[in-house]
Amino acid sequence: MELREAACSYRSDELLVQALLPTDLVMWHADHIAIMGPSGSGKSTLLNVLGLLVRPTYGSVRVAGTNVSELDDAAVSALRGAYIGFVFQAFYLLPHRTVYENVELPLRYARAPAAERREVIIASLEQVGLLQRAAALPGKLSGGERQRVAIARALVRHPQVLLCDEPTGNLDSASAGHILDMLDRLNEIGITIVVVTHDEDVAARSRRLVMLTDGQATESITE
Amino acid sequence: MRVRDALGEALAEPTSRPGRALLTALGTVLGVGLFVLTLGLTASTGAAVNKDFNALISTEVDVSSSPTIASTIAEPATMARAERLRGVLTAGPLLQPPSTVRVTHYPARPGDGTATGQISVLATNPGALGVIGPTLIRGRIFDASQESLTAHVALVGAAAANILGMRNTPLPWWIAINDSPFLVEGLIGHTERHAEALLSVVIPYATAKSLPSLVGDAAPTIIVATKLGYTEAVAGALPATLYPEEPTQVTAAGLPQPTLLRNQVSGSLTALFVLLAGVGMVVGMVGITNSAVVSVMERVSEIGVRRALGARRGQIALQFLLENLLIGTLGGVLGVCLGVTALAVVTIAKGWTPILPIWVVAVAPAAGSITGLLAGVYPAIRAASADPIHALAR
Repeated sequence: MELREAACSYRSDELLVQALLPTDLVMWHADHIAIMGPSGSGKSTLLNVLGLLVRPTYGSVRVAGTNVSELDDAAVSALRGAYIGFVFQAFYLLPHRTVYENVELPLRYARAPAAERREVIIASLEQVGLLQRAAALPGKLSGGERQRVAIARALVRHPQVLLCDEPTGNLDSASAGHILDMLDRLNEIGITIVVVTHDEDVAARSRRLVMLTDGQATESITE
Repeated sequence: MRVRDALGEALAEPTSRPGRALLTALGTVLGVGLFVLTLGLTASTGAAVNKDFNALISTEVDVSSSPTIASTIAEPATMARAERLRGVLTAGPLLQPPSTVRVTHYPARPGDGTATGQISVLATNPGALGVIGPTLIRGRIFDASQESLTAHVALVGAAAANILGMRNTPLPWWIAINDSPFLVEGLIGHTERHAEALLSVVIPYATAKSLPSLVGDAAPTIIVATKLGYTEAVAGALPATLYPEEPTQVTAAGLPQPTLLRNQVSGSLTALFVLLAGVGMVVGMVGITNSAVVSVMERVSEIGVRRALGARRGQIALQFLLENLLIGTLGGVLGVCLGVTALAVVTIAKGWTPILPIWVVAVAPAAGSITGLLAGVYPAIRAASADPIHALAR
């Protein structure tokens, strides 16, 4: 994935706000990137651009050589579902669906054949160690377990990139450690991990660090 | 998204919150129930009205003729021929002098005052009385023997009795009609036909014919009571039956069938009730829309997550559209149950036969589905338009 002078701005009370200044960023296979910065610095905006949830007002985003700005909404949605997985701070599991059904959701939107889904979902749940809780509702799970379900859901379509927005923000230290270890293991098998975080310990696990200040991104190598 | 998956997603929300789904569907339940109830009541009341109309009005034939032959065709032998016609229940002459006459009531006890009034007189025979269908408050109806003897007996209508101050006087009374004495044997309280009898003194036809000063040049008409549905046939056969020598001198006709009026009344009622039902459905649709919009606002984060997981705008819209379609269908089915139950209660209480066109039971749930579908359009558009960024930021 490649950003070329990607910038985002929006209007607020007749003021033009530059949420993200022109940014160049290249993500390679099995990259491990942390994005840090104070509140309002543009971290979420950068993450949303990388996640194809927002089109940059300037510049371009390329995924596997394809300029995303040339695609319509349906094509972007399909590309996002196939290429990118999301893990949110608030988990965002559907409360009235079981663990199994939550993990199945991306496959439904991908129109995956029903016969193939079960195998994929089981493998995904095994990967996060929650196969035995497949029939449980999210309300019956701990915070760490819910985040693991969210990771399983993000992995079920075998994405190449996993975007994580404060994945340990709502977890105790023990659970947070387990989640970060899991992300490290996923990175080792070739998945690009991008983590937005305020926590320097979390950022220390990455190999590249992008610092954002007032929408301006500065990259450094951490290892 | 595959159809099965789309339905599964659409079912998930209502089944996870059944109470909310029922409340959302409540407007459609009431609208469809009102639709079923009004159409059922229209059919049931129409049948009841038709029954009343048919029973009383379209079962009489009136016969008029030229004055020269009127008395001839009113003879007993001719009436007997008329009564032998298929569909005829009873027949007889009805003679009414053109003006009122002086009727005096003589008190039963000496010393009580007399009462006099200008009252109409009707002359009939027992056959014609059968057509009029009087119900007596007290007393008896004069019979064929009194008719043949030209007995001076009479029936008095309740309104005429009030005029003469005789309403509560025990029978028999003596009255004088133009100074001719008559014994009152009965007091008429109600008639099935010819309500003018309530304002009149009714005397035997033969007795009236024997008093030329009473009837003057008045010519009788023949009134005939028929079975339901025979009016037209009897009217067609009577002229030749009553005066075969020259049937063209006799005119027989049933009383005008109020078909046009009945249809107008029925049509107006149906239109009004359907309009009311339509209003009910619109109210139900507004209720679903309102509830669905609130649901979209509450589920903005969920929409954002679905978009992040690869859902297209069209798939989001379809989900919300199907949700409201299902809620509308639920409302339609429950509305039919409610409407049928209400119809049964109302018609049984009124003593009517409950009638509900079968197509209403099939169409009403579909009406609920359409209501839900239409109500879901705007919320679906709003859901599809939700910006996933802002949705996830909440």
